[in-house]
Amino acid sequence: MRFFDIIGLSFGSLFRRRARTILTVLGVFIGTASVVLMLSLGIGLKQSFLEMYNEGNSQANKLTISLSENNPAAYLTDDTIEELEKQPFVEQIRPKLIGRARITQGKWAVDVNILGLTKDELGSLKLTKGALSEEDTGDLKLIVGSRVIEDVYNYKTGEYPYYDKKEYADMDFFGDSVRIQFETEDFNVDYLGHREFTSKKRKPYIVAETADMGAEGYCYCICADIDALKEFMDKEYRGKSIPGQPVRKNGRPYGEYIYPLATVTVNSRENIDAAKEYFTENGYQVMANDEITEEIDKSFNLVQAVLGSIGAVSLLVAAIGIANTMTMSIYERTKEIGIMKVLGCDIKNIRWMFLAEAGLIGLMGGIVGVTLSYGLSSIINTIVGPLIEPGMILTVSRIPIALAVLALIFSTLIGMFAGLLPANKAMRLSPLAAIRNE
Amino acid sequence: MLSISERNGGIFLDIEKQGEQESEQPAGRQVAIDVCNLQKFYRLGDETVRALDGVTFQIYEGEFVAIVGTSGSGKSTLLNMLAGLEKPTKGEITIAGQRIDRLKENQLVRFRRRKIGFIFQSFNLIATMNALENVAFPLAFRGITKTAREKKADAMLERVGLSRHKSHKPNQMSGGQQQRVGVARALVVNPSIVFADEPTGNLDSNTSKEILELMRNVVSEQKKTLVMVTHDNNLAHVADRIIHIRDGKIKKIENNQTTGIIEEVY
Ligand SMILES: Nc1ncnc2c1ncn2[C@@H]1O[C@H](COP(=O)(O)OP(=O)(O)OP(=O)(O)O)[C@@H](O)[C@H]1O
Ligand SMILES: [Mg+2]
Repeated sequence: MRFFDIIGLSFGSLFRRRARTILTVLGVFIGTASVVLMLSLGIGLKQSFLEMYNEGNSQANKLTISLSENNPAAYLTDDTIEELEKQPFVEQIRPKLIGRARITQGKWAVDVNILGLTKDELGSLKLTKGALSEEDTGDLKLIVGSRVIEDVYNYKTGEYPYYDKKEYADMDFFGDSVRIQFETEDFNVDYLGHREFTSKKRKPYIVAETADMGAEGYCYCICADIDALKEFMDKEYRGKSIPGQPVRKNGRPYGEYIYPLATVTVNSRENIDAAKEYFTENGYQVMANDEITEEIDKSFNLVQAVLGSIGAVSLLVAAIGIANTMTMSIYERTKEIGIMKVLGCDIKNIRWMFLAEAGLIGLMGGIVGVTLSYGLSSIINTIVGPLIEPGMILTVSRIPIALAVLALIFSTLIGMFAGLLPANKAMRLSPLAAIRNE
Repeated sequence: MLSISERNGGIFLDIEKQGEQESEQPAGRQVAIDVCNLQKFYRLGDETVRALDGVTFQIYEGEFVAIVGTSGSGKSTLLNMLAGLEKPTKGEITIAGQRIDRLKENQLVRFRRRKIGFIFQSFNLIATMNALENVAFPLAFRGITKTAREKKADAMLERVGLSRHKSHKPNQMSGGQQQRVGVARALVVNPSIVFADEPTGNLDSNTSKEILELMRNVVSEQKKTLVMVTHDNNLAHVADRIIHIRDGKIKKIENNQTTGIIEEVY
């Protein structure tokens, strides 16, 4: 029999029993939609997370290196970085400087890391407020992370508005000037006024805001140009030892900055492993972005599997519905099947007729289900997205084309699978059913 | 198309059979159906129903044979086995050189598709299809395109005198008209043998005569073998030969073809 004749007959019999077909399709489309939606949440969450993480840091051919043990020979100074950059697989090394500071304004204070970034890295940050002007005012220009406000506390009472009451402190980074005080003692955790800081200067230091997550979580830090930061810290500390910076055996500072971190750009992805090995051997701790990405991948795959299997249960119920419908259909058409067999219809064609019928139910359910999923997905994104991450457009549910196509194929296959036993039963029905007169 | 082995088997058997037959039949007639000691037992609990209890006969090509007998004598059982719808308990059925009692289900379907047309007592048209689609239906199993199918079906409906009822559904037609569609459907596939189990069983006597006449005419003009089961002796006398069965055994075979009636009493 011709393919389209088989499909035609299957369609015909589905159409004859419209009501039942629609009810069965209903089951399948609810099943398909729940699987697709659940998976779309898994995919959406994962991708949103990866995007947030990878923003401004998107290439996977970057490594972050830091000292693994206190080995003066390996200290990341401008000289060592210049040496390391001579390695054939290294494209560029961007040092990072971290200064511990307290920013205050009125009763508000916040203790943050001021992250010194190279000019190009600083320029690549996506700013959500303000701008980084090119002109040199001689002042330190700071880019405040969008979530720094969460760490702001009342200097006098020690209350954290955000952590205690889920309110944002009314500290205005842009409107009024702020004071920057650098920490002079390392490891001083008793925060209430007992820390020692450098002299207080009140100026409108903060010029912009960023929501960039970055590898170091820029949105929890304050970023600045690394050279400007060095200059500023030079003045602030003026000969005093800088917390976090190593000292010589005799207790005197080295006289130049030793960077706690640096980002290495490897010239090609193939060289990542060689680079990792090289830096590890030379006394650095290496963190590769692809590893972090893999970790995120792994944990979200689990989330996806859990969400997917919740959806799969409803698809299983739908499959039972299809099997039931097909069994009914065959029972009703025993005589018709008998007639076809007497008239010489190949038994394999009979099986295919019913498999096609079951597959069509699956496919129709799949089409409706996927269409519905796209609709529901955009509703979820407009309603749930802002709830999870206020102020940010977070696409929590994403349906890639591949998922849609897979869902269609899968629902068709589920239908056919559910129809397998009934179709085999139809194939084995006796042609004598046609002869008997009821 | 016959496969090589089928052809060889056919030739081989034909030669063998011809030797035996010359004494009984005029030369030149080929055996279409050869039945040898056919038995069919049904088990009903402890009891065994001997629906067919050893029948042997031959049907020749182009012949119209009627099988008559009272209700329960085993006529339908015999016909079903000839058409390969049921397996015999014992015995041999050879059609066109093929031992159909040995065929598997899918081989039997192929055999029917190539050689057999079937006319049912209760017409058995597909209720959702109109006359034309019903007649064209068995052609679909042969992989023929829709246009070619409908052309053939159209010509066949014309032949059975239903050209004005092509688009009628079975429930919009009389019994006689439905059976004409049934006849057209059996013949449209150009079978070499047509089986009919009480084709007029659900029709009044006038319509029965018409349908019988139609069957006889179409079958003889296309030189097909026709085997018809009936319990009506009058209708049976249209046939060339009449096989009488009683209690699963052949009682006699009447030869209607020549002037007098030759009776072979068993
Ligand atoms: N599937 C079956 N199981 C048990 N017994 C059967 C079965 N089919 C037929 N029989 C028995 O075999 C015998 C012959 O049946 P068959 O249908 O061949 O009769 P028939 O000559 O066609 O009768 P009718 O004229 O009423 O159609 C009957 O006694 C019947 O009861
Ligand atoms: Mg009968």
